[in-house]
Amino acid sequence: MQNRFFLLTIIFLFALSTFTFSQLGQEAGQPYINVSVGSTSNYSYLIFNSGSNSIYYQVVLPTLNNIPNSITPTVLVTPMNGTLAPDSQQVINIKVSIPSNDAPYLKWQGILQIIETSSIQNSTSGMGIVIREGIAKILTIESLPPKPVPIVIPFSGQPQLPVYQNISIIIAISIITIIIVIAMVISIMYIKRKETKLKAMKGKRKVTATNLKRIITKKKQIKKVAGKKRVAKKYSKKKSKRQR
Amino acid sequence: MKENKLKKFNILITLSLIAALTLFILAIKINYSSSNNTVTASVNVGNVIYLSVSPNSINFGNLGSSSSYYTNVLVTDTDNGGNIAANILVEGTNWAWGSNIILVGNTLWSSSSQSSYSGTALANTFTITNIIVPQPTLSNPSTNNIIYFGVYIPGGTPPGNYMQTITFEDENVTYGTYNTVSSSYQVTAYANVIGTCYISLSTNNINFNSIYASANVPTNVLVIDSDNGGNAAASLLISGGNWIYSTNSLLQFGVTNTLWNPSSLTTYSGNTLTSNLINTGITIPAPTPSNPSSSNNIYFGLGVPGGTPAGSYTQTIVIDNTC
Repeated sequence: MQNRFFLLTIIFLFALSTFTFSQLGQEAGQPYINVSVGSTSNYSYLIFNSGSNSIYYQVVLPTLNNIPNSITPTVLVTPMNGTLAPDSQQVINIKVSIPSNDAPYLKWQGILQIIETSSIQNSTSGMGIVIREGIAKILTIESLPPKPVPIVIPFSGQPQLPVYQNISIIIAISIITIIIVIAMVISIMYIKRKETKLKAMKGKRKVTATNLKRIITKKKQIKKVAGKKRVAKKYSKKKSKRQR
Repeated sequence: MKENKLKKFNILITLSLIAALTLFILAIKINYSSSNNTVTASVNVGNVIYLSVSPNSINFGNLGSSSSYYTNVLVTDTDNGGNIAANILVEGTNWAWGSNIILVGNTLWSSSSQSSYSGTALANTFTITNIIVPQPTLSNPSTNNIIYFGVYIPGGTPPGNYMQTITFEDENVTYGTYNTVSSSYQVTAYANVIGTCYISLSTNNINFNSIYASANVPTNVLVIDSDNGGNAAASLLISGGNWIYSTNSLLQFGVTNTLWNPSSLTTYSGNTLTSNLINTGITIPAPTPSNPSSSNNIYFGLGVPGGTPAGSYTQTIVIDNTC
């Protein structure tokens, strides 16, 4: 009876192990992280558990190659360990910092591992190997020149645009200001000229429609009189010539 | 004089005719009123269902091959101004990206939000969900109900931006009425399938049993590295630790006594295992929709150095897939 019970248990456990499983996976792509010296960059990717059992995992940080006369970047990974629930995914974040006194265009490489740490029983009483499964990323880090230093306006609390961009804006504003000033001067001169003309015309009679008619009529009369006078003058000249 | 008289006579006749006509109309009206003083109006209000779904697009984000999104993405089905209850019907198309497809049945729907990938499979013909949009009333002319969706990306699905169209219909069986007015009745679903690789070893234990000092085991002990459901090729990396005596961790012999090889060897030969993680050059091919599981082999052998004290020793090896 006990033997049968034991056998049934073994069969049940075997069946259970067959139908329940866990499988660790990750998003494809090897990280290539550019970091300006004196700053930090982030890179994220997904890891998966496509099975029906939870996965306990541990992160093993990369050992980066050593470059003479440089400080190896700092690599931080979050989370460093955890449990992946069945049929779930988790974001792994890599944060890389390069000190400011490192040179640009240096490259470091190392392997970041995420290893399953579920309990594995060594099934042998003799020589045995326990094999742990894992997923790995070949991490490449390249240093870049430092980022431009932003100008901070006092009391604003906010960093402004970098120096060279600021100068361009100042030049542009100066040019626009000069153009506006010139335009204002020209317009003022024009207005003054107009005023001078108006002042000159101020003494003269204001020309209205009625006045204009009167003026024209007057002018015609003057012309008539002038014409008559001319004729009279001409006539008198001719007469005086004849008389001679 | 005569004309004036004629004019007056005409005016008199006209006035008389007007008076007569007015009296006539009054007479008719009084007669009608005395026989009927109510007006009955009637109108036949028909059964109607208005259908509007929101949002018109849902995005499952980045999903790995052989992974799922829980059935908790909601879509609201609203009846604005109808007057009968309605049952929600849904149907869908296959997911598609270029010539690659994911079958429609990988999308599930549910009447409640789930904390797992579970529910009823969407089909390419209308399915009655038995999710009821309540009857709108005069006091509550707008009613709605919610349906939830989830999706599974089958193993081997190539990476890409996949799209599916889900179509809604509301029906009242009693009245034989379908939604007569649809302001929006389709939802476009998006899922970005990313490159993915998995690792699954055929065994996590190798048992060499008993080996004498100075003896060895040929490099023919097989471990299969499989990718069940990924969609990207992976490379096999390996590293190991020293062999450690079971009851005294200070008693060890070197990792390099273990050899590995991509193929089975009849002798104790091959590549030396080290404590540094190295690329074996063994590739696990990318699974495909028609072949969603791929694998490759790695073989191990062991040589026990002479003079090794008798007892049980264990070594830990790490095998990583990288993609």
